[in-house]
Amino acid sequence: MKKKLNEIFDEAKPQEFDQFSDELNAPELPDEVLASVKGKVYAKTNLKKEVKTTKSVWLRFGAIAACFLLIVSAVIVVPMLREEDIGIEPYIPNGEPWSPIIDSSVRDIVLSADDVGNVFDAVMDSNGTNQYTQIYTSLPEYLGITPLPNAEFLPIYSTNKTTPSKSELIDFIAEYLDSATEFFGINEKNYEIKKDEMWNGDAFFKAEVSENKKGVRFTARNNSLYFHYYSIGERRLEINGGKVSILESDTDEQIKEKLENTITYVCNSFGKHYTDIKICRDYSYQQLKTITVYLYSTEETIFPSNFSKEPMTSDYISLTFYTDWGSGTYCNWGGSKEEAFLSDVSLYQTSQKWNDYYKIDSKAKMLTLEEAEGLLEKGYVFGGHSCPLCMAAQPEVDFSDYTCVDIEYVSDENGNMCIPFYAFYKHIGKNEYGIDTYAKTYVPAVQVSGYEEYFESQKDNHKNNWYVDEVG
Amino acid sequence: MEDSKLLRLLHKDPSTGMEQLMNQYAGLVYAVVKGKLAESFCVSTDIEDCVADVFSEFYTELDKYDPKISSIKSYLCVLARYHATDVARKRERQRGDVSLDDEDSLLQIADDFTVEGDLAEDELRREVLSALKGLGEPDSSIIIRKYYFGESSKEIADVLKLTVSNVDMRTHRALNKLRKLFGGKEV
Repeated sequence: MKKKLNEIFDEAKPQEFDQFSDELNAPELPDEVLASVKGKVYAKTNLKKEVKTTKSVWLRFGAIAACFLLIVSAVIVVPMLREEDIGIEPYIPNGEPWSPIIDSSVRDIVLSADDVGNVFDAVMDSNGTNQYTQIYTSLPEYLGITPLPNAEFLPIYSTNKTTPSKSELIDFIAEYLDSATEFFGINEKNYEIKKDEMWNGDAFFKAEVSENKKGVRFTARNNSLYFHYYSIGERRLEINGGKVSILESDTDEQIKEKLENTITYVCNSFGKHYTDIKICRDYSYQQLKTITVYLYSTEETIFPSNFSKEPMTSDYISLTFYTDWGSGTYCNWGGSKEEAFLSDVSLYQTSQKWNDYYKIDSKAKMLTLEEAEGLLEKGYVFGGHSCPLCMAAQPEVDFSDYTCVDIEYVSDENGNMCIPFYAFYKHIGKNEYGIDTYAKTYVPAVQVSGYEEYFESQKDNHKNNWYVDEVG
Repeated sequence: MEDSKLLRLLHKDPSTGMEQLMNQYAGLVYAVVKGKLAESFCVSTDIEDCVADVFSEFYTELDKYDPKISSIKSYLCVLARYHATDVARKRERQRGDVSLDDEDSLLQIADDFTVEGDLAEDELRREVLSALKGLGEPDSSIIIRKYYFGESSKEIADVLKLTVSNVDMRTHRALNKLRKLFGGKEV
């Protein structure tokens, strides 16, 4: 057999190149060439070009902070990040508080601050802060918060993820292939089951039917069997011969009223009947990108996720509307820029009941809101890189007059521990697009030991933080 | 930035992650693409477009990248080579007067170094690459730069702080060594 060296290189697999890490070096591109390449990538992927913060400001703060050992305090100054505060009143959500159901045999524990810190990624938040994150939304009602539970103990969960099998996917496709292809106007029925892998190595199965640049994809992944629609080019989905739209400014009640007939048609098409509707707004990149309408029926679960935020913990159908901005520049919505058009209808069937997915490992004594406010005042907050040196270098936000508070469960990426936090929100102004901006920070909602030692030890992480390394 | 942090950033904040990714690897991807397209009558905008395609595909198909299999650097190099080969073939077809099956023209584009052996294709490739690594520095770098990045002897000499004649001599000896290892004839 003859082989050219160039052919060897052409056919080499990534893992075969790892051994050449030292040899694979090339000079940096000239600035103008790099800028040209980046512009093309952003145009192709519709990513927004990173808006550089005043990096020189970070350099100054970083240099000063490095010279002093500062203990974090969350309460001193109230600078506005963008425009002046319009004076948002404290927001108190409606509804019944969640009552956790915990078996009496479940053991009591006291978490350590290390346990708590480990559920968060130790990278700097892209908003340039790590003491708090920034959340964008038009109304406080859209934050999705719920009344605080009135409980003595809160559960600590672990997750038990199971990927549905290939045969389960086949059964799921058999159940919905005809209704889904008819609904989306696709005549093709042939499909092939393929195995794919996530970035983290988890394998899953999928299949699709497609024709004329549109199709339906069936997937078995993350505890669920689901299908969703996709198309290349025209992203507006027609229902029963017509396009469906809502306005970005519509309230939840207006959306429910406008979509009443559409929702009935969708449910009947797939033989479903749901009793509840939840509407979520995605403000990625600081603007409204999508509005998703979830159709579901409340089930009794040990986990409160259905109450407020994604992910859903029961079977559901979702209708996703893309805004003019969220659709991408190459989609050409046409019409009013204030309309959000229906782009996808998905049906999710959980292959595993959520009481099996979330397992109560233990329970911990719940802190009162007053006790949590005390931790907030001391600066014992979590959410990312917790080095006091870095946190002291951030623009400060006064949380003493926070706008609203919620209980939120946060899980580490492996699902080994799912811990409850008080999530405090403080309105800090509007961003450059006129969207209300909130600073959000986390304080443990249960008893935790070792706060002082933990935050002292985080200073060691100061040197290992990539952002700090970059700015010196 | 190490791969695990970069990957987390790409998932958590794609814009910032892609910015960091391109700052870190655009030069390398450009070199790989240029090495493949240098002889295919491609202009600089073709190379830039190809580089942009590589990063775009990495982002849109991020779920397909498996950090357990390879580093991001290696993955990008393979993607870059794949895209560049595609562009090179299209350009050659457009030119019309170069046949892909023309052995002489291929010899003009790529070195006439060949490897003979009875090994299965995949195993042969792994053995060749392993042997290439086994040449040690600076020979392994010289071969990678010459046949992967498509750099000239002068460019290689400038980077590795060698003379041009030294680069040529080392190239000749390294290729002969590889030929001998795989049953070929020395030249």
